[in-house]
Amino acid sequence: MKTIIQEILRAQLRGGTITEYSSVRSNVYRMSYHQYNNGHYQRNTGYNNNNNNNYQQRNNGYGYQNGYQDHNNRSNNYGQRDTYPSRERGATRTHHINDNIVRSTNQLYMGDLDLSWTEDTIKEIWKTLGEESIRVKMMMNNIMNNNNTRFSGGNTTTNSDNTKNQGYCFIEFSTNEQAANALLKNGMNIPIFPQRRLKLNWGSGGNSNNNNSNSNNNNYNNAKPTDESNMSSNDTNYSVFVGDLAPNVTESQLYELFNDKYPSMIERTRVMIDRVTGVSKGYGFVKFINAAIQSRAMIELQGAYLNGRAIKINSTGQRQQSQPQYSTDPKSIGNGNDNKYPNKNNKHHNKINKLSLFMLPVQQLPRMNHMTDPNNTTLYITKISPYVNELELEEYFKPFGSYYDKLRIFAPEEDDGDTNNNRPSSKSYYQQGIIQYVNRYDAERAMVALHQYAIDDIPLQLSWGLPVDDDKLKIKQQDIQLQAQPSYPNDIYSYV
Amino acid sequence: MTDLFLTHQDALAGLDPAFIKENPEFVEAYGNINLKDIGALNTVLKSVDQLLKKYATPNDKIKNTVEIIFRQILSRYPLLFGYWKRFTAIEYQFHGLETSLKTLENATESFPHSVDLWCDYLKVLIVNYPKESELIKRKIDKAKELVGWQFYSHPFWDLILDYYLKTETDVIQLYHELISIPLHQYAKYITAFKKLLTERKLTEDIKKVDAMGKQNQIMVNQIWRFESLIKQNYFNLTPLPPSEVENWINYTQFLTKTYCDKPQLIRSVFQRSLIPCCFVEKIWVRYLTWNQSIDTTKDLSKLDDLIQLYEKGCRTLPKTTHEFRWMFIDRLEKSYASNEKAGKVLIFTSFCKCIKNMIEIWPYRQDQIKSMETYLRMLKISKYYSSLDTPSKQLISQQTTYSKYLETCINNFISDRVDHSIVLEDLINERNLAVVVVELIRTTWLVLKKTLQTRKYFNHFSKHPSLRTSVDFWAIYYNFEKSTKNFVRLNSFVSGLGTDLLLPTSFINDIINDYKIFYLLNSNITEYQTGKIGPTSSHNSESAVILDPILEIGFKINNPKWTRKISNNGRINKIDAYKNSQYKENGHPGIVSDTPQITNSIIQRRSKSFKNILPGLPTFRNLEKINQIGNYRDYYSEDILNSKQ
Repeated sequence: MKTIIQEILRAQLRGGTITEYSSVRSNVYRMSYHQYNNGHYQRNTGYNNNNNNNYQQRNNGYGYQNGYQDHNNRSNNYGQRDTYPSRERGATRTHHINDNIVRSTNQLYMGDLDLSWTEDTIKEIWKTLGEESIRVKMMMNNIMNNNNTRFSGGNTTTNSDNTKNQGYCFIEFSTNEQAANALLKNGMNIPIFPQRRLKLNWGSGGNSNNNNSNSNNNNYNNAKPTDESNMSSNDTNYSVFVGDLAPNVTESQLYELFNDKYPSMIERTRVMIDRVTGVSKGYGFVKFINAAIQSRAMIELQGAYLNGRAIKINSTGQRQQSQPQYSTDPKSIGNGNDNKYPNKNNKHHNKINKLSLFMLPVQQLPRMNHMTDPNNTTLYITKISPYVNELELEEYFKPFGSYYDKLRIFAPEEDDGDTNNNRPSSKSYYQQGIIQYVNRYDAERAMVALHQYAIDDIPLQLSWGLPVDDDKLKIKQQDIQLQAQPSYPNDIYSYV
Repeated sequence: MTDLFLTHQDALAGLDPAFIKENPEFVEAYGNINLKDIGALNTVLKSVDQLLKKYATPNDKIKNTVEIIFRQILSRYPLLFGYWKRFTAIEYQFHGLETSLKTLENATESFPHSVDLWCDYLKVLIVNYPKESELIKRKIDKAKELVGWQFYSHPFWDLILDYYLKTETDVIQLYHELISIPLHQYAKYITAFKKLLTERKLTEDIKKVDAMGKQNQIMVNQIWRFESLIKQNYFNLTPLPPSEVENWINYTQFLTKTYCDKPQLIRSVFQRSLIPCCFVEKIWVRYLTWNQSIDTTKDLSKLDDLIQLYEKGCRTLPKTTHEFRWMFIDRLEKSYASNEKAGKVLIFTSFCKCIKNMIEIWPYRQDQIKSMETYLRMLKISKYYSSLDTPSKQLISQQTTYSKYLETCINNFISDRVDHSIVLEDLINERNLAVVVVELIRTTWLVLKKTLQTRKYFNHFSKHPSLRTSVDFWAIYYNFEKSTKNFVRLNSFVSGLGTDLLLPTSFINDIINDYKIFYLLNSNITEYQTGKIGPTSSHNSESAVILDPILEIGFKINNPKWTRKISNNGRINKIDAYKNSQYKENGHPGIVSDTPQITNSIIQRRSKSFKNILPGLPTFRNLEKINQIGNYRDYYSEDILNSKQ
């Protein structure tokens, strides 16, 4: 503090300006910020102190980078791992499928299918190609769409046909050689459907790799390299389902989000695109290189914002199958790469839980209905004065923009012969109406301007509505027959 | 009025409590009576039957109850001929022949186009009163006119032929009439007629009959195309399928084109179609359009018939139908001028009745306004008629009396002293009052040119609540003030739109767009400067915000509720504004604005002033503010999050 005063004095002597003062003060701020952060860091990382001094010392000067702690922590772990180069060799961490590993399976991916093809069609095709004993798993278009109806909005194509496939399938051959042979036919014309070509690749189902084996080994807390057979036997896919994506999220954006948090831990990302419309279906998958990252990501990135929308992370079906092997040993749950420090596993597990306290809250989006639909343009008007007809009411709503059809009023339900229609208290006194604008903007303006706008001293009430079928009106038309016939004046006016 | 009384009367009122206890089914059936449901009506009928079986000789109270029930149903639906028949039978059981005949006669009057009812009536008449040949003849003639041309009227013709044979009247004439009518059983009569002619050896006539028969056959064949499609030729409460209506329309269209020389046939088909389709406006309109087209004579009785027919349609058609009623009004208005005195009286009377009816049955303001405007137009033509050659003095006096008349009516209505014998006063209500007021103002301002009086009217009426929502009234007010170029009033009127005067958005938009141009063209700087103050008459200055006619009124377009926020509310108070830290920070919270200062600075002090004593240690001001944390004002949560609570 003394130095500050000296500096101020010096500045005053120089006839210093405010900016100089402020620069001085900002220095002060920065210093205290350092201190504050350091202290904070100390507190926060307390549980790390005793087990990773090296790390702490390295990071001391950069306490304000506390947010990247995970990152640093992991890179540190890499460092640790690098002392075992023999084991890590071959497991290059890139985000595309590692061919060497995948080829150990006998499953092929077959894409570019006609949407109407079934499993039998595929079998037929392979029969003509000389492969008889295959099993086909066709990806059908049903389950995911249910999760996803809200994004499709008025676009019915995504919902309409559950019978159609998603355009790809998996083919399982009896041996790996057969699969490899079949893969050579990639790009060939399909004999039965000459206008199409075979699109083949290794299936992703058999994508067991070294990392996987790592995590297996963790359970036994030994760092011995495992043999090939062990690797291939464990057939696990570390993917998560990512839902609630904004429609404009691309695969690379999704990749960046996860890769920033877990660098080099993402094998690939995928955003599902509707084949018909070319628009994102609003969900995708992220594939990690190991189960630990997968489970961490499910907690830590749950509800992270991507293009203004909180994402939702869920496990895929396969993930849950592999869950039990972790639960057998509670100590081992957590980061598989920490196998060098078996005694820390538990701590790390705690850390995940601690982090989960700070995770972004998952915003519960309201259920999609006419009130929450951002594209709804239909206004439902209640409390319309009984003396107003459609033409007159249109004068109120016309200026805001063009609308479909015309404004419609439903006359109140008439109680037969009852005269209580004239009391404002009875429900049937008021009329209701519906108007569907072409543009949302117009509808909103009309709503803002006319809500509670009084006609005949009765304030209108507006809310979002749904277009009404003509059926309701048709019934009304039929009722006309049954209406009481009007009385007609019999008396003749005396003065005429 | 009697109808209304009848429908709301409780038929069970006069019954003994013991009787009600003994017959719960009957009471329940009557309690469930629903005039919209034919099933419920049939249940009532059944329970009445059971009741009469149970009490072979019912007492007067029961008789009365049953009669009331039947009258209630039949006054509402006179076209249910089965009910009439049943009612006649019951009346016969109760009171004997005389009353039942009376009932049948009533039936033929209420439902004049029913062959069934006429046959029943004539049969009873012929059997029981054979001596009243004069009456029978009269009735037969009437029935012939009403139902004789119907396609399935052969029972009726058989009945007459039978009667004629019995009374030994010559039937040749009747046969001649008969064979030209396209009947379902036309061949039967031709054969019989030919037989009769051969008996009388009138061979020449046979050839004629043959020729007519051929012609008739062609006609029947043509008609059969439509007749065969008619599935329901009786009245029922369940809605008619659209194909039936379509068929009737095609049928009448065909006849009016092809057989326009047979008005009786066309009329009878129209009448028949109006039994099942009596609630179908289209057919009524067609019927009357056709009726008007064939009848161009200015005979008073014809006019009366036409009006009767129109009024019948107005009584029958449901409230929601507009076209037919306007067609009636239109017809009356058009034929008014061309008629003689008696016809004029007739037309005006029925015009008043129809307008009154329209005002009563149509709740919507637009219909009310249209009806009232039509009435005033007619009133002017009928009572205050002026032609080109009317002397101007008389014209003025006429218009003055007209405006006087209007004013009296309006004032009587407002002060609630309505004289129902005066048509206009009887017609005025809250919704169409504006039309009369506007008419009065228009006459005073534009015809009588009394500007002062007009202003008085505006001041007087603008306070009336039902006129505050009237577009017509404010439109003429705006025009009036425009003509006087009273910008103070115009400004206050335009400012009040949407906040004080809740008028339709499109109307407000139009007024504002028009006023913007009008103001720029006609105002000047003095007006502009004084115009913002507002009229002296408005007492509370808070509610009446006068908008700037150039800058601000445009905000009201498509946002009628827009109003300027009252000044100094939510704005920075100008006197203290510079002291505010936010003002000093100018959007950079935390920046040092109160600089630390040394209060006992030695700079620029002469060394002499130290008097060889050490100067004191520096003392500071504002030093503590250096470390002050910036005060962030979170407008977002202030304005949005907190205001929601």
